[in-house]
Amino acid sequence: MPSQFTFSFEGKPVSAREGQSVAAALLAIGERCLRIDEAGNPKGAVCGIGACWECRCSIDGIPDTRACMTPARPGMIVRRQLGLDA
Amino acid sequence: MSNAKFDVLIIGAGAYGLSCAWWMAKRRSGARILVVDEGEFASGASGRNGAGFRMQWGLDLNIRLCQESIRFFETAAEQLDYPRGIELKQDGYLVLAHSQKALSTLRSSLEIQHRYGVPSELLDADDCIRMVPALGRNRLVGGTFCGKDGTISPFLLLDSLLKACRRENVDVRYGTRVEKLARANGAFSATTKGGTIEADKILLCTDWAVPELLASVGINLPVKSLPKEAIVTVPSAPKVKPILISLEHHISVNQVSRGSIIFVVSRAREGTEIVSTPDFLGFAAPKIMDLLPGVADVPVLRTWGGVSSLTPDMQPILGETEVEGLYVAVSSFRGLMTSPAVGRIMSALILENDTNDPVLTQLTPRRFQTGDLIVEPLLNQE
Amino acid sequence: MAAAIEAVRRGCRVTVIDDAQRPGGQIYRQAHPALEGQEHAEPAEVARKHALIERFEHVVGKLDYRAGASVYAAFPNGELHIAEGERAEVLRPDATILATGVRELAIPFPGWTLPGVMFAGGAQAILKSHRVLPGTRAVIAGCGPLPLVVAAQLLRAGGQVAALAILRSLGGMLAQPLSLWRGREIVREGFRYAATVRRAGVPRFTGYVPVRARGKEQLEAVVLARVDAEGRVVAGTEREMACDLLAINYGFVANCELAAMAGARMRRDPLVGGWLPAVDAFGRTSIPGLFAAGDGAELRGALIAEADGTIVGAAAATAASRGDAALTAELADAIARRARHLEFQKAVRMTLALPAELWRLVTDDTIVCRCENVRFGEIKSALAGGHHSLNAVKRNVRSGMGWCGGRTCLPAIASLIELSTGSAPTEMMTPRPLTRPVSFAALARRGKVGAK
Repeated sequence: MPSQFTFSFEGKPVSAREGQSVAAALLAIGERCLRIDEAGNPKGAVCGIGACWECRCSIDGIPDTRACMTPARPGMIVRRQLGLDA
Repeated sequence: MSNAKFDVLIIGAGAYGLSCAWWMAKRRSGARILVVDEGEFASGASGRNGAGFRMQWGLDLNIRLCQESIRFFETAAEQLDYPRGIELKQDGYLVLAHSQKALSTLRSSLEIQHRYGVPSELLDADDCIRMVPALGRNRLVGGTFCGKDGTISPFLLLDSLLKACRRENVDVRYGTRVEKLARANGAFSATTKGGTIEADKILLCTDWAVPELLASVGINLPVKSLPKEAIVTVPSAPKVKPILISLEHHISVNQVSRGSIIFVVSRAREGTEIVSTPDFLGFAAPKIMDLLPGVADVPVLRTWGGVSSLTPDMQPILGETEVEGLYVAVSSFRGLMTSPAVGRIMSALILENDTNDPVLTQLTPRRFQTGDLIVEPLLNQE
Repeated sequence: MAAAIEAVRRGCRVTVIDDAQRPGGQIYRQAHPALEGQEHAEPAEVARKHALIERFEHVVGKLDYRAGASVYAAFPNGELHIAEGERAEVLRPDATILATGVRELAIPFPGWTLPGVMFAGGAQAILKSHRVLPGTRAVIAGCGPLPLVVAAQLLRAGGQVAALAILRSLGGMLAQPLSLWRGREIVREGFRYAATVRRAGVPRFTGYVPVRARGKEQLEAVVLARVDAEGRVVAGTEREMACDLLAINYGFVANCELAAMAGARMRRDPLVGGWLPAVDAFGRTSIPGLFAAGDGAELRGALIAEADGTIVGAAAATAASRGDAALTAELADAIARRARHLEFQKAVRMTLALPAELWRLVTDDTIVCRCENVRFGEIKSALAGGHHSLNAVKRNVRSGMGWCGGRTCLPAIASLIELSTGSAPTEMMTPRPLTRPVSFAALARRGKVGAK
């Protein structure tokens, strides 16, 4: 794995280093909102350790994946979740 | 604790207890009715179930009890003066057969249902899969579907009944456990920690716990507890519109409006505690995958459970025991969906000694002595 | 790690289930080797971390270390059901040590669900493990030592800290000189963190807490206000600070769900983690063969956790092999260390005492259960309706039924019950499988293995 690479978030390229989580790489560019819940509330990472499940988003087509626990990989496709749609 | 004597003491404030209380209060205004429950609001079986109702049974008595009850659910908001409604959903039940024997049971049950005007229809395997693409084809031979079957919110039904009862001046007390019953001077006394309750008549709606109180007046009824476990998934994209029942797998499937899918898996077990058993997930997951392979990737969020009642012929028990004035109503795992009809029938029986409904003959507690047990072919139990 | 090392030393076959990608837990988090970077923690802490990790790596070849795995259910019969990615498995060990640690305590307040409001430890984890500044302009708040540490580490990493709001000055600990002397290494580190913060000229607000987070799609500003000794907001003291990160820590909650699920007797002490498995000095719970060690048994900090791990590892090894517990020099040393550091921890503990009225920062509209969007007003109605247990509240308003299983909201609801009714709930919400979602496919494919 290259030490620096990009993955995509909402169609935009995001830079990341090997070992960084998706949540961290997104925080590095100021992207805090990882999903909108069923009530329309924007949500992002809170606990940083995988306990709260607030940072869940669609990663490579798999819904409800915790961004703080998922290492970023080259070419990963990350999308926000809107309500219950993945 | 009031010293007044009640006309009727109902023990158990689940769907049966509250429904019977409401019907009695409506039948005779001014009747002094007390409902007691050892737990909190909705803490019993009525608060822990699949929330479904169906007319698709093979026995006339079950068909009629549910038909009448469903008509009540359809107008519950008005009848109980509960504007927010009880979240009635009628997307149908699909009862599945995975063998020719099961299919022929479905066919003969369909005939009986049609005699009572139930709008159910026979489907072949392709029809079933077209209706629910997530279904597995393995051994599936067909099913029956009735579009008027569906679900309600048990919580809201209980809430609407509770509020309606209190409006009719029915006294409902939670956190009150009856330790024992006794007969005295043609009436009854019920002992609780807070004192003794006197009543002319008693109706036991404590489901599987009925034998305990009956024992205190020397009656035996063969009611056992039936613990059941269920799985709820994370909210998922719509996959299952009707409620599914698989007679072979003993599983029912209900995808609720928020998207979570609830699987109730029945297996023969003993006990009265709601316990998550270590082998449940290993037992249930392969069956669910076989029945509904379309949910393979859906994550399971939680397991939970409840305790239902089991009688020797797996039918409800409704009626007066051999002790005059002491009545029972045991649901045998279909309490919610029969509660409106049972409420009406028991209120007529208890207040007016009306024994006309044939259901009372079929479901009498005395049948266990005479051996007149009944068989319901469309049971989803092991 | 310490427990595993000791159990291996005593001849056991050991399996370690770790939901992280590499060992270290929370306090001793390791970044991926490819992420070169400076450590912003105090050198002495870094040295302790490396020493322990090295000792663990030394024996890792002798044990079964499962990274990215978690126990989704534990049962009174001793079974552990684990999931590792899309694989599920059942373990039946002779002894189990729950070293599940703690998570951070959440106090809900208006706006707290905005992206950008994080737990301080979580913000620290982003920095430590991922070498990323979790915000460009931070407000750090809370009580106890952690906010100070996080503020200093963010500053050392080049971040901006707009304000540090601590409920109570840590100087209060000076009233217990003997305790401080016992923990003098940590105290020295504390002074150095404080110096970092002071040199950077970070505005300090003692006695202040965040009372509102503002922003449209994410955090834009925080309103701090002073509270009195009972925790009541003092009117007219509100100060608004622009920021994109609010990192808060009000203490910790033990991850005790598995212990409760396995049937262990529990006790409650909000000062040291809330609900905890009741354990003896050797980490034994009421279930034979089930042990708990470290902060997950009682909040006592990293130094004690390490010593405790050695002690409980020895006890569990003895239980597993049914042999004598030899009192080795290491074990004796661990026992002594644990006792010595406990004195200091008792002083630290007092800094985590929360004034009760802080729980009234919520308004009726404030979300308390984030997963199910349950607002305080609904909980208030349930309490008014006489539903005073966590199970009853859950039944009525669905709190605790979502993805996190109540991890975030239950301690808050327990405190709200205590505040409203005068007595704390005596029972936890009944813990049920699963502690994290697992797919049907994984569950159906599950094999059965025994492990010692």
